[in-house]
Amino acid sequence: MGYRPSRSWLPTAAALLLSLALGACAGKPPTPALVLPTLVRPVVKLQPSPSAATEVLIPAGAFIVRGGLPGVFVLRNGLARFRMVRIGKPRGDRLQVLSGLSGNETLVLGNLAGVHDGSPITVRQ
Amino acid sequence: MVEPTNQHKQEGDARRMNIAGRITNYFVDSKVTILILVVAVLAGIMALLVTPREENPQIVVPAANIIVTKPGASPKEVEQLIIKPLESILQGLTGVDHTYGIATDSMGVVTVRFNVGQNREASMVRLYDRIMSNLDRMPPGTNLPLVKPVNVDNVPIMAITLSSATMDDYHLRRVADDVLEHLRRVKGTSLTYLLGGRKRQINVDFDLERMRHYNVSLFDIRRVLEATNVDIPSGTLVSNGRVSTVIAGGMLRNAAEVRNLVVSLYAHRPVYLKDIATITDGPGQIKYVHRIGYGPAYTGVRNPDFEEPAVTIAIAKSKGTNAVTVADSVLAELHRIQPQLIPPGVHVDITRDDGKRANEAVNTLIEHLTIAIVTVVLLLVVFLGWRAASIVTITIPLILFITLAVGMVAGQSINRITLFALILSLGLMVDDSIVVIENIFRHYSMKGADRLAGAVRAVNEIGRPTNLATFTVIVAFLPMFWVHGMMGPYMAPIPFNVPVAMITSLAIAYSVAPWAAYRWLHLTPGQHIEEHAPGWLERGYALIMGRLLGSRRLRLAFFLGITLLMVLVLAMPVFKLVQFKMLPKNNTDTFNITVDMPAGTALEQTDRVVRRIGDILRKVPDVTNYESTVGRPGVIDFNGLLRGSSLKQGPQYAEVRVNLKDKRHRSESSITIVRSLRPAIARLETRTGANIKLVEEPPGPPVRATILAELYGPNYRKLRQIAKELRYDVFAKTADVVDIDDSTTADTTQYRIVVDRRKAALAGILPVEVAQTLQAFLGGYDAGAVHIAREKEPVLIHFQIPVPDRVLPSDLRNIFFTNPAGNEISLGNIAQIRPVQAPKPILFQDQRPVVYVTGEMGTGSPVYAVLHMWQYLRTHPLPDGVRLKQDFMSYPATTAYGLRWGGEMRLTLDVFRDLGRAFAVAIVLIYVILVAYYRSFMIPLIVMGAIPLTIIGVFPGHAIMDLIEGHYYFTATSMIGVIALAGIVVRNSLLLIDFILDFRRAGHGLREAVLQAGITRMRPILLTALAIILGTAAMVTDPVFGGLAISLISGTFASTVLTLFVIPLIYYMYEARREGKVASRNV
Repeated sequence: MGYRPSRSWLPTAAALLLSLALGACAGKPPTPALVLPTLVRPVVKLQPSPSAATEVLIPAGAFIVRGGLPGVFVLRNGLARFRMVRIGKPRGDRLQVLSGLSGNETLVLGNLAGVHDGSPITVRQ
Repeated sequence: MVEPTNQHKQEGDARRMNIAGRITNYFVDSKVTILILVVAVLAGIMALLVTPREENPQIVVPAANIIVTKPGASPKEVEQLIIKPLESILQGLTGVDHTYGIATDSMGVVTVRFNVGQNREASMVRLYDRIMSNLDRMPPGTNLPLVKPVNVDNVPIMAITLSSATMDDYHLRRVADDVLEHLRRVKGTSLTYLLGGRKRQINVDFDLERMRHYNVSLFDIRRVLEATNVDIPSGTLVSNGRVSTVIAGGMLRNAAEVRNLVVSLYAHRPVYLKDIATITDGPGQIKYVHRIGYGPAYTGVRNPDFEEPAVTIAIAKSKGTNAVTVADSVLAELHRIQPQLIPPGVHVDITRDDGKRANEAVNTLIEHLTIAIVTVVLLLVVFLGWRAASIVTITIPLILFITLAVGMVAGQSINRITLFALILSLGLMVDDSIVVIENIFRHYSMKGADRLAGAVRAVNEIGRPTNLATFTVIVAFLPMFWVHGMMGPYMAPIPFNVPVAMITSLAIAYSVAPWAAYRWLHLTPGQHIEEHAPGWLERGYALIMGRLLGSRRLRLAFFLGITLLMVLVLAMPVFKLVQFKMLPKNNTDTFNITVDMPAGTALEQTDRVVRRIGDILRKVPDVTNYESTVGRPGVIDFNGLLRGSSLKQGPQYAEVRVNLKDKRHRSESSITIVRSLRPAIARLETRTGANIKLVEEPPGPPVRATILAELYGPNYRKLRQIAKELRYDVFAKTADVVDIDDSTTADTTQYRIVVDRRKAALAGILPVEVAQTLQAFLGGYDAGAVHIAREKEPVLIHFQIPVPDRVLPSDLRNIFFTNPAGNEISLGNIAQIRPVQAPKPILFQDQRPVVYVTGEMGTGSPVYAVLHMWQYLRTHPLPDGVRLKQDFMSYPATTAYGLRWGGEMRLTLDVFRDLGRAFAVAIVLIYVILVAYYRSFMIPLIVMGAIPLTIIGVFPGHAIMDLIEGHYYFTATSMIGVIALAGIVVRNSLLLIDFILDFRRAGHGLREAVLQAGITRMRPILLTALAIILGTAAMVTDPVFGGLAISLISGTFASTVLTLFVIPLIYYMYEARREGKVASRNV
C-alpha cells in the first residue's frame, strides 16, 4: 500500500529527528516496471472502408470489454494498446465503430483475455 | 546593541526608572519569572501540536455561481433577459468584487466573487436576500435561479484512489461506496464524494421497432411509470386500542418489477415493459472515465496494464479543523477497515494528502528554523563568549514559543509564511537580549557592583533606545496588513508574527534575560574590557574614517562614488539585470494537465489523447502516479476552484493529475520537469488538435491565467475575430508564452428540429411531447428510482435508446408519437430536421461582454512578455486594421475595441503598488517616531539616510543570483525584504547617531565623537548584521521566499558597511555646517 499514517502526535522534536532521518535516506525504492510476456496473436489491418468515409468496421473478435470500458487492442510499436471505442450496429460478423478509431489501425485478434494494455505482441501470420 | 546612552542622567534620577527598568526590577529576582518560563514553554509546545497546520494561509474568497435556465432561449436572449439584469442586481451588493457571466443556449451562469476576506456566511445570506427580493423581475419562462456557493472548505484535502486490474469500474464504485460510508464518520470531515465508476441503475433500452409494433410511445411509458412508482402513507387504522399505519401504492423494488410493468394494452392483452425494451440492472452508459496510471517512481505493487479503471474517494475537511489530524484519522480508519471492506485485488493509493503535505512543509521549515537558530547561536558564542551566548540562546525558543502561542489564541494557523516570518525575525529578536546582556556584563565588570541593582540599572539605561529600535521595526511591518486582494491574507502572517515576536523579544529581554544574567553571569573582573579592545577591524575603520573626516576633497569623492553606485544600481532593472515578477514558481509534488478538445469531440477521441499523455508521463522518472479523468474535471483543488475548472463538463474535456516523488527525494524540481514535458506535449497538440495545458500550482494566489488579455468592444462577433488575431499574431509570436488559448469555441453543428405547428396540430401532437421524447431519445431520461432498501446511492430507472439506433440525424426520423386517436405519427411527418451552426456562448465580466485570450509563461516573468506585447500593439494594428486601446487598471470603454491586461500582470501591479504604499507609510511612521525621539527634524533624516543604501545591496544581490541560478526575479517577497530592511538599518544608524550624541554630551569634540562612535559601535552593528544574514541564509534555497532572504542578506550587508561610513559623515558635515553658521553669526 502506498500510504502510512504520519505521526504528528509525537512531540515535534521527535518528528524533527524522524524527518531528518527520513531526509537522509532516499525513501522507498521504486518498484521496477513489470516485464510482460510476449504474446503471439493474429492481427488484422483495418482498411478504410470504400462505402462511406465515416464508417469503420472491425471484426467482432477484436472487441473486448475491459474494466467496464468497451475497446479494442491496437498494435502500436509492437505493443498492444487499449483503445476505447463506441460500437454501433453489428454488420454481419463485423461491428461498426462510431468513435475511437481512425480506420487505418492494426487490431489484435485471438484470445484477448490474456492481453494487457502494453503487452508485446508477435504477429502470427 | 545599546549601551549606556543616558549615563550622565543616571546619577541624577536613579530612582525614577523607565518602563524597561521597572519591568526588570519586578522580574529580576522573582519566582514569577520561572513561572513565565514554564508557561511559555508549555504554551509553545501546545501551540506547535494543536494549531492547525496548512501549507499556505487560507484565502477566503466568498463566491457563488447563480444558474438560471430559460429553455429555448438563444445566448443573445439569455444575455439580454438574464445575464445583464442579474449582473446589475448583483453589482449593487456590498462587498462584491467582480461578476462574471456566461450566456449559453438556454442557460445563463453568473459568478459573483466577493472581496477577499469577506465573511462567507454573511455574504451568502446577502446574496440570497438580493436574489429573492428580485425574483419578480425574472422574465416569464425562466426557471428559479439556483445558487451554488463556491466554497474553499469543499476542496478535498484527501483523495484515496481505488483501482483494480480485475474488477470493473461498476464493482469498484460499490467497494468505494462501502469504504466511503466508514470514512465519512471520521470527525472533522465534511464534504465527501466519489469520482469515477458507474452507478447502479435500471437500464431500460427501448426497441423502437417493437414499440411501433405495440403502438406504445415513450410519452405513454413515462406517464405509466410515474403513476406506478409511488408509495403514499395514507393514514392510520385504529382497532383494539392499537394504531396501525396504512401505506398505499406500487413502488418498484427491483429490475424484475420494472420488467413486468404493464405499460399499455394491445389487442386486449397487456403489454409489459419487457416486451418493448431490454431491462438490465447494472452500470449505465459511460459518461466519463477515471483511470490511474503508474510512473517509474511508483513504490507499490505494479499491475500488468499501463492504466486501470479507478474510483477516487475525495474527502474535504470542515472549517477550522486541522488538516493534519483529519488526514491522519482518515488514514487510520482506512487502515482499520481495509481488511474487511477492500478485496485483495484492489489497490489503494493516496493520491492527495494535504495534511501530510502541510505537515511536511511545516516540519521542513522548522528544520530550517532550527538550523538558523544554531547558526546564530554559534555566532553569538564567537562574539560574546559562551556564558552570555547561552543566556541569549535560552530566550530564542521562549520568544518563538510565545509568538506561536499568541498566534494560536488569535486563531492563526501554522503555515509556511508563519515560519518564514519567524526565520525573518530571528536575527532581530536576539538583538534586544544581546543589548541587555552586554550592558549588564559591562556593569558587572565594574568593581564592587551590586549584582541585583546593577542588572536593573543596566536595563534602565538602555531601555529608551531599545524600545525605539524595536518599534521602528514593528512600524516597518505593520502597514503590510493593508495589502489588498488575495496577496493580503496570503502575506498577513508576516505583519502579524514579526511585530508579535519583536514585542515578545523586548519583554523577554527585560524580564528573563536579566533574571538569567543575575543568576548565571559571573565573570572575572576586566574580562569585558579585554573583549572590547580594538581589533584590526576597528583600526582599519579608524584609519579610513580619519582620512575621510580630515579631507574635504576625499569626502566629496566618497559621496560622489556612492551616488554613482546608486545610479548604476538603480539602472539595473532598466537593463534587465534585475527582472520583476510577482512570485516565482514553487517546487511542488504535483501538477495538473488539462485537455480541451475542439467542441463536438466524442469521449473516445478525447480518451485517445489522454492515453497518449499517459505514455509521455510514464517515461518521466519522477512520476509516481497520474490520474486521468476524461469527460469531466478531476478532484478539484484551490487553483481549479478559482479558475472555474468545475464548469468544464463534457466529452471534450479531460484532466490529468500528476503526482511526483516527494521533493526531498528528487533531484529535479517540478518546474524543470514541467518544462521538459512541454516539447512532447506540444508535438501531441499539433498531431491531435487538442489544447493541452500544463497547470502548475501557483505559489501564491491563483489567477485565471498568468497572461490574460480581456477584450472589450461593441460587437461580440468582431471581438471573437480580434481574439483569434491576437492569439495567433501576437501571443503566439511572443517568446516564452506557452499554453495559449482563447475563450471562443469551435463551430459545431446543431440539429434543429423545427416542428411544423400546423401539421402537428392537425395530427394532434403537442410540441412538448416532441421535445420530451427527443430528450429521452438522445440524452436518456431518468424516470424515477427503484426503491432498494440497502442501496447507498439512488438506483435510477434510466430510459434510453441503444447507441446503435441513434447515430445519424436520419435515425431521428424513426421516432414516432401516438396521437389521441391512437395513430402513429412519425417525427418526419410533423417536423423538419435542419443542421445549423450551434450558437456560441457569450462571456461577461462586470457587465461587459468580454473575450479572453490567455497564456502561461514557460520560464520567465509575465511582466516582460506583457510589456513586449503592449509595446507591439501600441505601434502595430492587428491584421484587419483594428487598433486596440490598452489599459492595465481601468476598464476600457466598450464603444471602441479595447484590451485590458489582467492575470498575474495586474496582480503584480497591485501587489507592488500596495507594498510600495506600505513602504511609504512605514517610512513616514518611522520618521514621526524618530522626530518624537530626537526632537529634531533633521537628525531623523540623517538616520533614515541608511534606507536608500539597502538598494545598493538588494539589486546586485538579485542580479548575482540571476547569474548563478538563472531566472531569478525580484519578487513580492524581495519587496517585503526591502520593507523589513528599512526597519533594520534604521536601527543600526539610530544607534550610531545616539552614540555620537552621547559622546558629544560627554564633552568630546565633533570629529572625535563621530570617529569614536563608529569604532565603538562597529562590532555590535556587525554582530546584528551577521545574525540577520546567517539567520536568513536558511531561506535562500526556497523558491518562493528566497527573494526575501536575498534582499535581507545583500541589503543588510551593503547597508551595514556603508552605514558605518555614510551616516557619521553626513552627520559630521551637517553639524560642522551648522556650527559654522552659528559661529559666523556670533562673529
